[in-house]
Amino acid sequence: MSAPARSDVELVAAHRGGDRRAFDELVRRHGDRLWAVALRTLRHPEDASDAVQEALVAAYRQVDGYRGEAAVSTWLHRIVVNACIDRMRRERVRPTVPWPEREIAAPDPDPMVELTTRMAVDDALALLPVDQRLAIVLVDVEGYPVADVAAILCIPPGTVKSRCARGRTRLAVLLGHLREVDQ
Amino acid sequence: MSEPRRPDVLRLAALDAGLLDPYAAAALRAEAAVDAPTRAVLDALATTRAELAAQPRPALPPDVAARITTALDRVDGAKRDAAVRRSMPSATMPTTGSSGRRASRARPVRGPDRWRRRRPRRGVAATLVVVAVVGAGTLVAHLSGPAGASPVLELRADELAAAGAATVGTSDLGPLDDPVRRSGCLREVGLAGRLDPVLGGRQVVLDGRPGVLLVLPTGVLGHFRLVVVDQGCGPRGGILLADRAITG
Repeated sequence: MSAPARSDVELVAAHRGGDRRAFDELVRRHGDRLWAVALRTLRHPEDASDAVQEALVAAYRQVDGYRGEAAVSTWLHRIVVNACIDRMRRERVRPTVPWPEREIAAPDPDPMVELTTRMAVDDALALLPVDQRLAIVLVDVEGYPVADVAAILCIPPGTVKSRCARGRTRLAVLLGHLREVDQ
Repeated sequence: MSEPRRPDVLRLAALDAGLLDPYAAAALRAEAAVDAPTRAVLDALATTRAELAAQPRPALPPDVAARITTALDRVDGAKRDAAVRRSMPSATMPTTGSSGRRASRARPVRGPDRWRRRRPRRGVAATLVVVAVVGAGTLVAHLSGPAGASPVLELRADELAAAGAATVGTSDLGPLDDPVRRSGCLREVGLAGRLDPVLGGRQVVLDGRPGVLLVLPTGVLGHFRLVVVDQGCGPRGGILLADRAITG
């Protein structure tokens, strides 16, 4: 009979005790989600690869920084998100363009118009400001509860919702579900 | 004829995101129930959320996972290096305070297989038959491998003096044959300015750790300094495995 899987907290404790395989298991367990967040935030695989690697090495080295106040996955995501933000600040990775203020209306009744204005989701996400993009990626794409995202981003839950609201509005236009109206 | 009233999209987005208080939310939902454009905006936001949620999650690519493993291996290697440095006070001369300071400095991590390279080369070591005649001050290594193969001396720290005496005049410095690299290595382990001329050198496995033994002058006739550094030693960092003075 195989031993029961260790919890994330147990793996962190084992890593502190010198069990290298424990951290490898954490990487296996959370690697896909961390990668997805980094890739959707930075958009380019090379940048995402560097950010995830940098973040996991930092987590590996500074495991004492985890004090159990949040879930291990929240702690890992926070480090990855910070690595992504640092990378964007440092290298100005693919800066977003400001979105002109326009009035937004209900979808166009003509489905052909809707089809021609649609963008791929990843392309549309890339056009969001970073704070909105992160909130949307974590809440809507990865499905984390708002409270967890607030902990990851170190902001109040209301700010997460506000960023999601603005981001979704813009995405709804970019994806062709809403239309901008020339004023 | 007046324009039809357009719904307040940002307010509807706030409703959609759960930002409104229950009373305001209820009022807006009631309005949406009877106003098609308002309902269409809420539907569009819901469709957007659904589309985002339906995105497939990309898996961590194997090459990225491998890079992460390699990076973590490097961290382990650096930790072990630091531990080795801390555990070697008896192998260093008490007068070489500078090497101690060097040991406390973070050393840049180099290749991903750095630590593996430092492990004893078991295949080579197994074919070595080392005959030590310590009393006579000589140590001879015989290789059972092909003629001309570079002899790698496997020895313990207490055999270093004998090995050093036998190394004078030998010039098998391996990676440290390059004078620039050698100079950088000695500088990194805190021995700058005390290296010329190198009186001899050979590749060794000291207490299971591959390294290069160097015999350095001291400026005093008949007195030598024996230094063993790791094989990766160079201008970007190195490990002082042993440092001992002998009288020839």
